Amino acid sequence: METYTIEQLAAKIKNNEIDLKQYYEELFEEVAIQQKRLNCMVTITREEAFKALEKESGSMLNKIPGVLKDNYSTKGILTTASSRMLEDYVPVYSAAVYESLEKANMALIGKASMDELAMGGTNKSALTGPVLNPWDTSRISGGSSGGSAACVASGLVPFAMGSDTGDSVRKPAGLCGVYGFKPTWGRISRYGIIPYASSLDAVGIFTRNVRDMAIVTRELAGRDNRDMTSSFNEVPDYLADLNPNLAKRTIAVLTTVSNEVRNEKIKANFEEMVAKFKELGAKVIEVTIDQELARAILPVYKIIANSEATSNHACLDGIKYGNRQPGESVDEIMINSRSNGFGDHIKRRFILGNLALATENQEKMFRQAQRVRRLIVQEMDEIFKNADVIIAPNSGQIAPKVAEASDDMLSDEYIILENYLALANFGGNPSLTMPVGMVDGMPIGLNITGRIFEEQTVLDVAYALEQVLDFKDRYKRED
Amino acid sequence: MNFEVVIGLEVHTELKTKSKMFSAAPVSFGEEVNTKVNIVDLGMTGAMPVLNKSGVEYALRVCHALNMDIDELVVFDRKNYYYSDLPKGFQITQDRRPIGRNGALEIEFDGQVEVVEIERLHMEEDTAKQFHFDDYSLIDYNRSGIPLIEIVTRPTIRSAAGAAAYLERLRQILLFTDVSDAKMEEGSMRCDVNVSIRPFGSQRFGTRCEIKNLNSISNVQKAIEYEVARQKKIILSGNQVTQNTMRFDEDLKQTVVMRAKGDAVDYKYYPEPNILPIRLDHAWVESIKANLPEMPDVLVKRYVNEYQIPKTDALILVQTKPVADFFNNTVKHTDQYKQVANWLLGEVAAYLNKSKLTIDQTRLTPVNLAALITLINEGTISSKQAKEVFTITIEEGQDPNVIIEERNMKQISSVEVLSGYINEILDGNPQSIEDYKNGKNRAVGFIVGQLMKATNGQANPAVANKLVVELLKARC
Amino acid sequence: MDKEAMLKELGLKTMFDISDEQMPALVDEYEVFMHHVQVLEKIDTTGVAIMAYPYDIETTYMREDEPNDVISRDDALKNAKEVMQNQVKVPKVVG
Repeated sequence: METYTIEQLAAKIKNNEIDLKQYYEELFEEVAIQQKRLNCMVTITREEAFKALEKESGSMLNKIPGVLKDNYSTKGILTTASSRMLEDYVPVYSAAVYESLEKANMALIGKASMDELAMGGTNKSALTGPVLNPWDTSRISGGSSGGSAACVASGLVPFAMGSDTGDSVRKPAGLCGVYGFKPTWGRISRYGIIPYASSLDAVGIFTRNVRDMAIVTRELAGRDNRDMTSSFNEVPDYLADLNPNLAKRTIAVLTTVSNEVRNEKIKANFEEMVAKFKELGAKVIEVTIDQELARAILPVYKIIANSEATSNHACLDGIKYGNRQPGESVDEIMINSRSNGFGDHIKRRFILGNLALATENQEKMFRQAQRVRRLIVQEMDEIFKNADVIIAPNSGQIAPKVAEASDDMLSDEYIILENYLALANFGGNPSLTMPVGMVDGMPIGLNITGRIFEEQTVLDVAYALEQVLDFKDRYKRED
Repeated sequence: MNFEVVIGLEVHTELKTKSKMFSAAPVSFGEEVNTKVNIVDLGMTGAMPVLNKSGVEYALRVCHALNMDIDELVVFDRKNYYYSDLPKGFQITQDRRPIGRNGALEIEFDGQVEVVEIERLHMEEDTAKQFHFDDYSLIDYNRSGIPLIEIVTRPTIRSAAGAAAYLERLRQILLFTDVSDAKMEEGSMRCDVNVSIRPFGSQRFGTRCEIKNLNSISNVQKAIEYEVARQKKIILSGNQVTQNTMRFDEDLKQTVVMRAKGDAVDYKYYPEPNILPIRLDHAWVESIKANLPEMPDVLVKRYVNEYQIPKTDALILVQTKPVADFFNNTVKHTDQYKQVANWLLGEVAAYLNKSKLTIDQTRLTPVNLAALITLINEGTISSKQAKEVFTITIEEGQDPNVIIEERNMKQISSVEVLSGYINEILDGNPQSIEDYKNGKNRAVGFIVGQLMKATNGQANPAVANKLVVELLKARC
Repeated sequence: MDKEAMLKELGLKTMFDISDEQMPALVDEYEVFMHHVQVLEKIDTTGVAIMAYPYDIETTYMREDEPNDVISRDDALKNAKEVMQNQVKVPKVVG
């Protein structure tokens, strides 16, 4: 099967240079093969895709294949969020993002596997089992949007949708060697996405290059009256406005993070990238955030995310929809359904989330986390007074082996380096991770984070770097 | 020992907006089960709340009517608990920043005027409705998400009668601001009561009990009376009141413990992350105040001072908004204020009572009632005829002027015309003249009767009587 | 109350029945969680307002009061496991 970018395939469709029926037949054969190899899908939606071939739209995404993470509500299509609780749940409505993509006549290939309810960073907690990394199937794809990342990284589709609460799009993008972008909180409607933590959640996009990223972002960004947090700010033409000239850009190297890298190859790669930005004419400065606050990123994240999650998922009680187990009373039904429907780690997080929200604890736990969140965001805002973007390595390691990967890493090296991406969720900033190198045969990524609603700046900086590297449009597919 | 009773009331009221508080599903009462719902009301995962502007407007009307301080930054919180009638697993409410604070409502009972201090008014949403059967319950989500406001007093009420008077007044406010049906029996207005007692002079509050789910004002009064007596008995026997949540058993006429304090649910309030703070337009908030209809207490003062209507009558006129509105509109067309009041409290009230209608459900209009009163005062129709015309106009909506024209009901007051009739009758009844000469006054009645017969009852009785006597005398 | 009993109780309040086998992992995670709490306790947040949203913003939008979004009863009950007389059926609710 040929593998195209959005732009390439759109051009072929426009010029009638491709037999789409044949292309999609081949594509679904390939989907079956990669599914067997990577276990990246929960549902394959062949019928939906072929329906799109019968329709037209003026969008760049017309008849372009795409994938949705399984926490996007899709009317009439199973939506499980990779949880037993929703094993047979078929929504009666569609997420705003899916509606936009349907309007653009995208061809939905399937619903991608994820960490259960997006609560994890390994994709090992999916009901359908771990998703494997296309570059080395003994390794994880990362999570929580691991299925979406693997679909793009294996070249099945030129784009896939994910969701990002702490790093759930950017982390797997980095580990799978693709682009992962989380626009500003409020830039794209969250309506219809099964939430994790509403004040941190953002729609995220996977592609294999910056131009495609600009196309999809443009298609989805904008006000939606069904999401009261969605922004009225105007949406620029990200693609037309792409400007790789960095002459007037200031790039801040977040040494609080980059200094934590122990892997020499990753360290060297990062230094190389910094040098490239200088060569491209950008002003590069070094910045830090307070060490105590940096070490508080994970605690703040855990407390806020778990607390909001336990409340967001209180609706999953077995009464109106979802898994229902028998019980003598309503309480028993709820307890039995929830005990049976959620993975053990999810239960633990919900319980601890409730601990932090409890009135007797809330001041010192949840509200203290919300206060420290403000202090951390203030540090970021200080940096953004003098810099257009902040950069740092996406991770200190390549994708871990499936057996070794864990969400619980508390060593000093990890506590900042593997959790700092949540900074962009704390402040709602646009944040993009792109592939910038290979280490031991595995891709590694660089993260670029900008001021809120300055998606264009982030895309511009990534675009400039992309052009002096050879990592765009890469994918890894084996039989 | 003498005790002082300390009462605080929490009133929940369903707002009669067109759509729900956070979803655009219709607000309905008594519709087919589960036909007025959408994904928000069902707590479908991924659904998001969108605030209803009218919900806020209705809340503001009541805030203004209660003279509250208004917080023009609207923020919401989540109240978290698991219950089968709460599909989201949380209720969206206003915990930390209610839209209204520091209100007051003047109440009058037992001839005294008191001011009830109102601590807060906040907006929230209703739960689903459950129907209970022998061994199962069924859930209808139509009610889920209907806008609610909760109005909480400070513990400044000192008697069961005071509580009842407050609820009556508050109900009136809710009706006059046109935000709710405020029917306690049907649950569109609900009341929870906090009651404690303390020795007179004591500054410290006693342990309070909360009585929940009271479904009428009289039950509120009864429940408080019972609860106060119960607490007195406990304290006088040397024991302590335990802080419980109670309900009022209508059959037993007693308060019964629902749950102890230790079982209280922790609601874990925290800011609703899916609704950003909303800054209300100050001009809009003020315009709601400016457009507020006159409240009943203001109306009563006006009726008494400007229209010289007895206070007892004025109070009855303002009991419901439709009647007060009707009065206000009728006196635009006649200055016979007292007669308007008498008609509304007399014939109209009797008719409404009999027909079980409200005044706006009848075909009576203010213009027609004013016309009817004018016709009476001009002597065009008799009061007996007026009753007949009234029945026709309230049932058929016709203009009284047209009614009397079409049915020839116009009263004949012309001396000339009536004299003609009377002389004719006297000519044919010489015996009557004889009788009158002999001092038999019934002759007058006889002639008037003949006159009425001859004129189809249209002769103006006052004029007729006077004229018959005059003409009889003339012939003696 | 000891830790396990407290967590068992908290579990029930979160509508989970935590089994004896699941308890050790929960206790471990609780310890990590409390460590997080301690990290935050050490940070001086005097005079700092909570941050409930990623950035401070006020909006003015409210929905007009139009009842234009209703789903069919079939859709409303489509995913419910027990339905009777077009309503969701549950064991008798008391109190």
